Amino acid sequence: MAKETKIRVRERVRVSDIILFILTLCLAVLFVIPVVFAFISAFKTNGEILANPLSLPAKWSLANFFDLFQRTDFFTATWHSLFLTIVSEILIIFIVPMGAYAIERRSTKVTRMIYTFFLAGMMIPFHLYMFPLFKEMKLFGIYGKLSGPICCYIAGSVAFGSLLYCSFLKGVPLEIEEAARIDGCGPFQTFWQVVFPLLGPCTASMIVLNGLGIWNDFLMPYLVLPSDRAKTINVEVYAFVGQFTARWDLIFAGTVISMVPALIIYVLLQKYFVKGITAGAAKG
Amino acid sequence: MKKKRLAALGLCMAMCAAALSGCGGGSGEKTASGDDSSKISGIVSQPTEMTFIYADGDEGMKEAMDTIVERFNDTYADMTIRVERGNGGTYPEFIQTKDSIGEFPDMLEMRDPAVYYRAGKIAPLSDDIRDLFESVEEFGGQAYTAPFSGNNVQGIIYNRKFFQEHNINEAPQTYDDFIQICEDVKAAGMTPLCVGGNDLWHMGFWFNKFYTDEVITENPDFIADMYAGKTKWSDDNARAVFQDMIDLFQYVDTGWASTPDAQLTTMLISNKAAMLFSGTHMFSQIAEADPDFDIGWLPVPDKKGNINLVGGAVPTGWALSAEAAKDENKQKMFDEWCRFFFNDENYKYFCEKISCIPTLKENPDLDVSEPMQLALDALDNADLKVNMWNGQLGDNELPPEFRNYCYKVVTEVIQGTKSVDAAVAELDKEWANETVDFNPVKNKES
Amino acid sequence: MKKKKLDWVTVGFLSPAFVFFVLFIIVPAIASVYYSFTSWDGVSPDVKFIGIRNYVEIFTSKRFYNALKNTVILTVFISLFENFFALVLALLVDHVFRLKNLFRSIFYIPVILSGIVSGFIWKTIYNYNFGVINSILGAMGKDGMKKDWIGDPKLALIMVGIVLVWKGAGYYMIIYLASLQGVPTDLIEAAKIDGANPWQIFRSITVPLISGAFTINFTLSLINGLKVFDQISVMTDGGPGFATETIVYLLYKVGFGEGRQGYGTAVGIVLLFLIILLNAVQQKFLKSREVQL
Repeated sequence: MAKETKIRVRERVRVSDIILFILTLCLAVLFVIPVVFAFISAFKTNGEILANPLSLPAKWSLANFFDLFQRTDFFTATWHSLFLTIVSEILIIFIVPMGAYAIERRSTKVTRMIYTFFLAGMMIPFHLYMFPLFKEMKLFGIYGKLSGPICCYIAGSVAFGSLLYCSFLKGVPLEIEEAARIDGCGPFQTFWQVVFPLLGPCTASMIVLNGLGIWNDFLMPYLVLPSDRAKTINVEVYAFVGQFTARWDLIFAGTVISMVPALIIYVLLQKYFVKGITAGAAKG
Repeated sequence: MKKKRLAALGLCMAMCAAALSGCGGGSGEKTASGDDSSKISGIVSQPTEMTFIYADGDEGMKEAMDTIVERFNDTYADMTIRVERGNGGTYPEFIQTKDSIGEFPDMLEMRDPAVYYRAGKIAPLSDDIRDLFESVEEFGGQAYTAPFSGNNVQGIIYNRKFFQEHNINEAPQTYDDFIQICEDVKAAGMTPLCVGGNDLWHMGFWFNKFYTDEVITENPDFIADMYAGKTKWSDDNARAVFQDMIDLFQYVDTGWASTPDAQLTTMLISNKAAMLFSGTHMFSQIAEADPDFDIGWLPVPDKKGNINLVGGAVPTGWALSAEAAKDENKQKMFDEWCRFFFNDENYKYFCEKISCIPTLKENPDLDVSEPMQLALDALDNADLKVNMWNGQLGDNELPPEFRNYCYKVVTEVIQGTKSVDAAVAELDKEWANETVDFNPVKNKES
Repeated sequence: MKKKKLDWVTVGFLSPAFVFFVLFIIVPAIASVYYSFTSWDGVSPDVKFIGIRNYVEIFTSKRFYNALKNTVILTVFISLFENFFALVLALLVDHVFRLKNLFRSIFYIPVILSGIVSGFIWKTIYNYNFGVINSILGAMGKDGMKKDWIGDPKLALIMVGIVLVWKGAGYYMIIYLASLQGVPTDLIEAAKIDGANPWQIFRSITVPLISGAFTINFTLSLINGLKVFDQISVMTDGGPGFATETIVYLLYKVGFGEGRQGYGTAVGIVLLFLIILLNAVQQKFLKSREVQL
């Protein structure tokens, strides 16, 4: 929608424009200050944070980060977070668009029912079914393994993902698929070689929105992953809040490590966040 | 493992994996490397690894335990302890959560042996381990925990320099004297007390003090009588506990409800408050945070002028899970761990590190700090030595969830969102609820 | 093109997603219904069927009503303010004459933080002795205004709510913004020529045209409000006392901390009904409003 910026005739900058700008700026500062505060604090010593929470660090140093990695198993946590996010994403992008394709392009009474079923499932809160879910995971032998959360993330992405892909597929012309079929491509090949590449922007939205959700998830890895090693970044940060309550410097270093990848992805792929949210909302 | 390889296909993955293999080796499979020839082996018939959980909310404890576990792992070639991290918060609740999700550890710091003994979750100590200790808590004639610390004596830890500069009384004879001290500190311009109410268990320090003074001195079997239906939380002596809390908290720092226990050291050394009521484990924490801080210690007398302190045998200690005990090697390893932990070198280090009272028949010689000596002397001369109200056993054992519920209600009473009347009525109701399934007194009769 | 019959290709395409969905959401959800009638403790193999005892206990316990009250307050607070701020931000970003995209990005930043991280940051900001807010008040000499923000039972819930509004507003802003940009410019220009003031234009043109976004945003923010967990867990742990214990938090505490998973799932079922009810009421209420306008 950034593209649709309205063309307005602006001969001169009006006073109201300036006022509006200042107002927006003030709000922007208010919104971003807590994040900036966390960043700055990560470079301060604990004493500095406690004595003067708003000051800049006397000396910018990475000591907190070294300390964090030395005192805790943060490498494993970072690895787990990355692993869960990336592997889940790969599998989601393999599974969900195919399902949506079947719903949208091979529509029958049954697939339409399934689609409604998916959408209704979005209402079920995780907290409702988590206890039996863990029991089931134990039964399948995936409890305490990284594959446990991955399965759940896939399941959790089905509803929203189908919604997103279905609405996007509506805008993809049928002719290309038919041409591919005439060329002798099987349905599987048609989908992956012809249709899927056209879904690129949708896939990107799906990856950023879902990836963020998985990267930021807390309860699932907290309860499902084994505790003999670090779990994920978020769980570690949570544990620090209990463990190093007095060491805000360390916790802030942890929060920065959690924020930075998400921020980078966001800055690079901003438009896909926007597209995904608006497409989801238009349909939801 | 297969999945890991799969994922390494991703570009970022490969990069991260490289970074990981470079620096991340510190955590897990350490045993593979290093020279094993100098290590002891042969106690177990095959390499054995055990999971271990202890309450690591206290930094001194965490550091001491990490050190000793590391020493253990370095000493033995074929035995490895893997410490699982306690996730802060309330330790008993954490263990309960681990149990709920089927992750009960092989060995652990056990705080509620009664509960887990009944559930058949823990195994009895071997005789030669049990013989190490001066006294142990018993269930059905057997001991289930190896106590690593005597009861944590609680008293006022204060800023001695500030007291002396302002000529404040350091030896209260009655509770009124103590209140006067609070007044004097306030008049001298400092907040008298700090409390870590963000950690629910911390509320237990003051609550237990008043409960002991008001209830236990009159009726040591108050809880047993509760089960029998002879007493109530709405009785006058129990109500008084809540009123005492309200009266005391006017001297407490305004931010107490959101202050975590671990921040109290900082409060004390940065002069945000002059006093703190807690256990002797705080001494080493304070000394570490600020070696120049002059720590004072004093017991708080009750209204009659008696000194009632927390003391006696403790239920808390190292325990072996019943599941692990089925494995002969794990049983042997646990016994070896106890011998290792309680040897002169390690145990001396441990006791000094966390300022605890040793529990062995033959204790190592400790270098005791001045405030610690004061606490030990006070314990010797106390009028009454009694366990924490939630550490009682037998007929006086609390229903499992009652303690936390009670502390929440106490918090509400102090904050004025609930009247004392409403609070005690609610506790009586909660008591009735919880004792439907849990009633040691009634169960014994039937 | 569209086939009426289900063929193996369709089955093959759809079944992986379907299987995961059913296996890891629907099956446990149905199992929940069963467990809610039991005294399951999560560990022991024998699950005792106790009929509606859990439900009776829920509806007769003060703790549940307290949690319900907290949930309602928190949910209403955040959906009102999230939507208010989201709309204000969207209007500002839409009308600001420079740096449109930069502002939009900045307002969205809190959305990408995790619940735990945002909770921790604000926990330190709110801290009574060492926090940012009280330091600023102290520096301005307004010591009387210092509060124990998340330790005071009257404030704690709202303070948690503020964090959620801060974190969520950017998300809903995106939806409003998309909707605002769908409002045809010529309509507004025409109104201007007719002499309508900005408020009139907003009231009679913009609002009706973006009412679809209202419906969506209210629905989403209400449902998300009911599910808040991470921030409560890191900031207050349901306290002080029971002041910030919501239904979801109660469910978690009872289920894991107190080993009563049967009771916990029953609370979860009640929560699901609440969500369904809310959804229905909301759809009806806002849809009818859309038509009216």
